[in-house]
Amino acid sequence: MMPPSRIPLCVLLACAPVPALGAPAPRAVDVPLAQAGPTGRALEQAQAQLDAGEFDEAVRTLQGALGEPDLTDAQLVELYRLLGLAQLYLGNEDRAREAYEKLLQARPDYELPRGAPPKVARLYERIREDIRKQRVRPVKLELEPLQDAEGGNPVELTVQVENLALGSRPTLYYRRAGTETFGSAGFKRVPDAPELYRVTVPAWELPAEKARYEVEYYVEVADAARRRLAGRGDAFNPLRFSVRPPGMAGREDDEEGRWYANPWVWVGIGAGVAAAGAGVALLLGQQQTGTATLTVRVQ
Amino acid sequence: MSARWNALLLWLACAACGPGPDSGSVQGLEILLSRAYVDRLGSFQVSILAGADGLDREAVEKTCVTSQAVTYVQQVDGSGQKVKARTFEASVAGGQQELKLAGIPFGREYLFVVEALSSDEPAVLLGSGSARVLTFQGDLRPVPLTVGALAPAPACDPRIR
Repeated sequence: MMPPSRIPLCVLLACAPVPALGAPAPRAVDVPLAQAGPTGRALEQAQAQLDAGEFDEAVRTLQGALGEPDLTDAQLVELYRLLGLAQLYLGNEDRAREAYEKLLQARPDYELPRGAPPKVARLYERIREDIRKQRVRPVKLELEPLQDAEGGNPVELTVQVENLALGSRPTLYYRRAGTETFGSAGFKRVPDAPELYRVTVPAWELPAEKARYEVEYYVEVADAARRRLAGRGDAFNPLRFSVRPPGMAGREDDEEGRWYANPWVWVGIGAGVAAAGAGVALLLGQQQTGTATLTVRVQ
Repeated sequence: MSARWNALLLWLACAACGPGPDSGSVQGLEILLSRAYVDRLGSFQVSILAGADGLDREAVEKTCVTSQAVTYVQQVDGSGQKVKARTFEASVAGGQQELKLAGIPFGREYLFVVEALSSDEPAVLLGSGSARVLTFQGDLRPVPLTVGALAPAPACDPRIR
C-alpha cells in the first residue's frame, strides 16, 4: 500500500476543492471598453439624454466626445451608434446616414433597439439599404512629402485620411537609407480635425551627424487584418528626405557654406570685383529654370 | 574716373540686369489627345515628376497621379506661386492649343504627365499620358506625348492640390 507521504500529485489535485461547486465565486466586473475613461462618461451622459428625449443635447455631447483624441474602435462604434440614433429621432436623415455609414463599416449587422418607433425603424432600414447598395468608399490618403530636416530634432508628419474605416490605422514606416528593416510609428488623430493624423519621428532616430544622410519612408493605411487600403510609397519604392548636420541651412549650401563661413575669402575682394561676381552669378542663375511650350492637338 | 572704367561698370550693370531667371527654354511637348473624350474635356493638368528612371510610365498612366507615390517638381504658376501641377482650361475647338509651363528646373530627366480632366464636378480622369524629358537639351524638337483614353474612368480624384 502506498504511504500517505507518497500520494501522487495528480491525486492531490483531483481532490482539491472546486470553487465553482462550493461557495459562489466572485463575479468578474464586466466593464465594456467603450465605457472606460472620459469618453465612457460622455457615452453614459448621451444615453441618459436620449432616454430623456433630449436629442439635441445628446448630439452635442456625442460630437464633443468624437473630437477627443485616441478613441478606441469600440468607443467610436458606440459614439456613432448613439449619434445616428439621436439624429434619426431629430429627423435629420442625412446626418444619421453619415453616422451609420461609419458605424456599419465596423458593424454591418447593427440593429436598432427593439423599442424604436416604427417611423425611426423604417428610416433606419432605408438608410441601411442605401448603404448596402453603395460601393465602399475608397480610403484616400494625402500627404505633403517631408522636407529636409536638421539632425538631432524630431520630425513631424501630418496626413489627411478620408473615409477611414473603423479598425484601420495609418502608420509611418521609416529607415535610414542603406539599412534593411523599417521601423514604424502609428499616427494619432489631431484633436478637432477628424481627417488629420499626425506622427512624430523622435529626435534619437535622426541623430545629428557631420555628413548629410537620407531617410526612406512610406505611409500605409491598413485594416485590422493588415490589408493595405491606401498608401504613399512602399517598402520597394519609398519616399525620401535628407537629414542635414545642424547649422546647415539647405542642400545647396553644402559646398558654398564653407566659403561663406570663412571671412578671409572676402578680404581683398574689392567693390569692382564684387560687382563683376554678382553679374556673373546672375548670368549663371538665369539658366536654372526654364519655360516649356506644349502644343496640344486632337488626333 | 576714366571713360573706359565707366564703360566697364556700365557693362557689368547691364549684365547683372539681364534677362530674368526664367528665360531659358525646355524641350517642348507635342500632346496628342484622343478624339474619344474631347467632347467631355474640361482641362489639362500637367505635373512634372522627379525620379523618372524609377517610374513605370504604364503604371503612372493607368490612374490618377494623386493616388501614386511620386515626387512632384514644383512649377511656377501665373501668379508666381510654386505649385505641384498646372491646370489649363481646355480650348482645343480649333484642333490645337498652346500651353506654357514656367519654372522648370534644368539638368535632370523628368517625367511629364498630362492628365485630361472632364468638365464634370467633381472632375474625373478621362485620359493620361506621359513622356520622359531631359530638360536643357541642345536639340529642342518637341517630344510626342499621347494622352490615351481611360475607360471607364478610374475611381480617384485627379485634382492635384
